[in-house]
Amino acid sequence: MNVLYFLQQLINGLSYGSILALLAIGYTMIYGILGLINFAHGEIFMIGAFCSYLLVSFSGASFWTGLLGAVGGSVLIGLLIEKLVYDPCLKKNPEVLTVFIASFGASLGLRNLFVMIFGDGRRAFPTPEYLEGIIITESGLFLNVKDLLILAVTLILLVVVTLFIKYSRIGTAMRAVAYDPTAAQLVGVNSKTVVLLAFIIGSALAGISAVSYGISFGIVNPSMGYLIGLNGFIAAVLGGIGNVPGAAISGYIIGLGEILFVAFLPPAWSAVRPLFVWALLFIILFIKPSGLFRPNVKIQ
Amino acid sequence: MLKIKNVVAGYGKAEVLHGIELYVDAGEVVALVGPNGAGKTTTIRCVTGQLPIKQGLVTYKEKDISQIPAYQIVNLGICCSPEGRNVFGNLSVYENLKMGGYLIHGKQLYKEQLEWVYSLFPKLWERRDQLAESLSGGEQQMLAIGRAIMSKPSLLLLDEPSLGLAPVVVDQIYEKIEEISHEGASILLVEQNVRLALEISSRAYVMESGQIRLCGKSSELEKDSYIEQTYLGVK
Amino acid sequence: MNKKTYTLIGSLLCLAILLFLANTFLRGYYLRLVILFAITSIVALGVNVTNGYTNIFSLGFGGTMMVAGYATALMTLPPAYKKAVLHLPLWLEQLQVAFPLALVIAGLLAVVASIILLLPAFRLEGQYFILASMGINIVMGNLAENLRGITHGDMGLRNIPAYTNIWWAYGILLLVIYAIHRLVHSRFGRGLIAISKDQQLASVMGVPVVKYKIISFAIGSFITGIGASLWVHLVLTMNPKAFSLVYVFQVVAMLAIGGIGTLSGPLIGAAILTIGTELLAPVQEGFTFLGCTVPPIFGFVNVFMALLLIVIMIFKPRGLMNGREIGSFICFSKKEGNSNGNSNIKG
Repeated sequence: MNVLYFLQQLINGLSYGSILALLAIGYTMIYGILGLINFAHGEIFMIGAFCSYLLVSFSGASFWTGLLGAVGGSVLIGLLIEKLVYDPCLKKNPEVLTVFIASFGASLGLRNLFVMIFGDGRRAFPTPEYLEGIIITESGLFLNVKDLLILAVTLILLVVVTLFIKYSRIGTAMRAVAYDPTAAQLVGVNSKTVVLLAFIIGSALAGISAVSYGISFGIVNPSMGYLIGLNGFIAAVLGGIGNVPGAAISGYIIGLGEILFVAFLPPAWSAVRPLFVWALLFIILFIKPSGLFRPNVKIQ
Repeated sequence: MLKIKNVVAGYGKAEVLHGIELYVDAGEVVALVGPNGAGKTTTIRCVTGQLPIKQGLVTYKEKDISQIPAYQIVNLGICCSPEGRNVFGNLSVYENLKMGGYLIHGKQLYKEQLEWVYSLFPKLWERRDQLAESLSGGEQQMLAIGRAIMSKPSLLLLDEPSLGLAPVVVDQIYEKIEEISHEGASILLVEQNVRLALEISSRAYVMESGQIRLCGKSSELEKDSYIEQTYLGVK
Repeated sequence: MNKKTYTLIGSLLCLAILLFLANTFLRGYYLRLVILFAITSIVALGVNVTNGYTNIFSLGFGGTMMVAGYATALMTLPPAYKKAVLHLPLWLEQLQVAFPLALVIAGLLAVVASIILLLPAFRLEGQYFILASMGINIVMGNLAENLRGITHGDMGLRNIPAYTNIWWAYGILLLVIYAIHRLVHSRFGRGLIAISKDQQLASVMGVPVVKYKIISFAIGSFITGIGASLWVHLVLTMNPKAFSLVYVFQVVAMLAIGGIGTLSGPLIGAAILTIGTELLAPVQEGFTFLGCTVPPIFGFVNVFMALLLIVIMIFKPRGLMNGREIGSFICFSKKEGNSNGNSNIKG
């Protein structure tokens, strides 16, 4: 057991976990407040990546402009989906199956729309030179600058969002609406505002997660949101519905777990990687059916 | 202040209120009593805007409020402690009260209100950091009322505050309700416990099957023979 | 023999003639399409028993269909092939089973799989259960890829005997329709519908909820397992990508478009999806219209289907049939004086 190797994989895991943590928050917020699985969240992620990719590759914008573009693009798409798909669907037919299918339809439609426009091929994500650097510590550890950046940015965001949810007036209102929307109305909370805010925050984080993914894995393609979105959603479920810090922590658990799992597995078994997440999910749900942390919704 | 005129309302195709009329004047404590399913909570929902009315008029301070959505009625000065209490179980006691003061502008006012609620309900101060769902029924009821009065409402709607609580606790709560009414708020109290309701109120309405059957001064209703037999268990 | 029976026999006869004509005159691709429609309908009807009539929203049938698919392949492939390509225990290697038996066994294995895999998930609430059932598909797919000794990994199994023909497909379809019809009108069926509307109420009224749910699961799995087997003997291959999550969602989409909880719903949904995909495929390939050449746009079909799905969910959430049966549109049922026209769930 090589300590160096372990630490190396730990950093990888934290970086990957950061991507998942940001995604998981988006899922858990929407799930907690509206009670629906936003399948299209993976596509919001993907579109953010594409916005950044297009801005940098075709308009010669800087990486940071691209990042802003990703956030903007994701938020825009998120709000569009809310307005055009979820809002009309929930107003008229709030049954679980119906909304589920509409959500899935939105995901499928967006994904294939981008396949139509850009083709299904993988494109290289333009990572700036200065992020490709590697720091080599005395002990021989290779630290990617981009991993450190991703980790730093994500942790800062997580702290900000968690503090916001816990202490701000509207953040508390979001948690209240997740628990009991009717009572929240009675104290004057406009649930529409809360829903929009949830979409904005969730989508913005997805946009940042997308750029992180881009510089980490180096590729952009229309199907990128599907599998990683699913992992993000699993993290949200593991963390307890509607529980933002829980979702983030679970994102790291899955990220670390998956990387370490693969790292210490004999190479012949590496194809089993996707199973890790599901095995983890099954085990945890078996022991604690409502997730690792306390969900934010009323337990019937 | 609050006037309900000829209101017809119901859920879907079913009609629950068949044209009821009641009013609450400034500073009054008015009781609305009646058996289960009479339509008392439905009436409250018509006032809070949670249920659209099919016919009639609901006005507050001469202004028609029947079209106003539920989340805006707090702005008018109407607050509600709903049936079943509906506290935010995932939030702490303090956070519940914070939600009660959601629309308060001004830190000073917010602090004053919070202090007032804590002084009224010392138990809530003791448990201020506890999750609301871990409170006992009586404490949750106090929290629901405390949350409702945070914004200093001019009209307080209380729906079944005694529901499911032990008599000792109920008495404590009713003491507090009286204190609140002395501060100047009008109160519309829905209660199944008729004795308590008539004791604390100046006027009362008796609702049965979606219609007002009797109304008048509480002191007189207490002695009414029909009330005595049907609701007070006097033979 | 009343009018209804005459109509039934007449329709069956017409169907038989149509099938015969199709079998004789349609070639390869179109004949396959017709058979595929029958198989897809069978699967949709099977899923409808669990997801529709009983209102258990499970997505795990992809995984159980995989089990059935591989089972039927392994049971009917020639031993020489199995010996060369796979690592199987001797009895399995030598095993060669007739088609009808293979169908039934595949169906039963699907039932066993569904009970083993999904029962523990039953204790999970609504959305968690949906997630777990999705996971079943992914896990089974992954297992299929990795257990190369049994499944030949992602190379898949080939040269599976071509047993499915139009008569098998439609014969079984009719059987399934008949079986579900009888089911829905039985005591068991009414119990299922009660469970779908209000589980607690049904329990209080004396319906053995857990037992019925398990049976409904089993029936659904059996039917979809047979559908999987028919499919395998039509396309003559089996690989881990068959019955994947994408396929699962397509079936769910069929139910959503056509309407759950009825017999016609899944059929209409299957028809629309099958025909729609076929009609739109040429658009995807690229075509010339009025002198302008439109280049191939891959993915168009899916976008169109997705939009259709969303629109229907917003405006007609109970599916196009809106919970009614085809029969209610035909005049004769009204002449008979039945009140068949407006009941919500009919079989």
